Amino acid sequence: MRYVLDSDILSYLLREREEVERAYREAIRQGAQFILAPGVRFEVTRYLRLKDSTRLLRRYAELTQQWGASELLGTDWDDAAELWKGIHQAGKSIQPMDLLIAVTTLKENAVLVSNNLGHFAPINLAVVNWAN
Amino acid sequence: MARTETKLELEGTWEEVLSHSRELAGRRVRVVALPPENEKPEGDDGLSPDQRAMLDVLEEWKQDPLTPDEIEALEEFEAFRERHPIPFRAWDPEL
Repeated sequence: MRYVLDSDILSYLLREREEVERAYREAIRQGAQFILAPGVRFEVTRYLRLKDSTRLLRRYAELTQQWGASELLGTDWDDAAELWKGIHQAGKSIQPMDLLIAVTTLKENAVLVSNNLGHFAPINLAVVNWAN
Repeated sequence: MARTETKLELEGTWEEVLSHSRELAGRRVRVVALPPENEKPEGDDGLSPDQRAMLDVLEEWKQDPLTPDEIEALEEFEAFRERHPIPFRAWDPEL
């Protein structure tokens, strides 16, 4: 199984939130792969840089060291545009960063782990919540 | 998004595979049940170096707890994320 962890879940792991860490450990033991979405990388690191927290940035680097990196290239942006069009035409909306995280998840054939399931409701996406 | 022609390979627990049920609806699939994790050879934790490293990081953190300020900073992260979304440029919503 491949997982993309949303920014909120990554922040819970950094602060060792119990139920999230338990699910993460279990996923590791089951041989899961973890993909760092560029949108998540941006959201988390901009905040930790703003806080000027060297130690939290180090934790972030340690946490994601073994994760695979994903990039949004060429046709990924076409996929994002097509997805956005469908959402817009259905009279729904999605935050741009959530859209890009969803596109990364689809591209990687992964399951998104998020505590904001509603953010991704307009998209046909496999989403689970480790925070409940 | 046209993804129906791509081959999709999944591995995990049955429950995890089921989380893809909408994506797999109507598609031909092949299911192979693998032996349980606990059937791995005795004396071998069955973990790859990467898996071991990911778990070790979590253990190392227990020896070096976060300060109250660091915990507070992480607790404020979600509120910050809501306050500072990354918007598309404004445009005509009637388009």
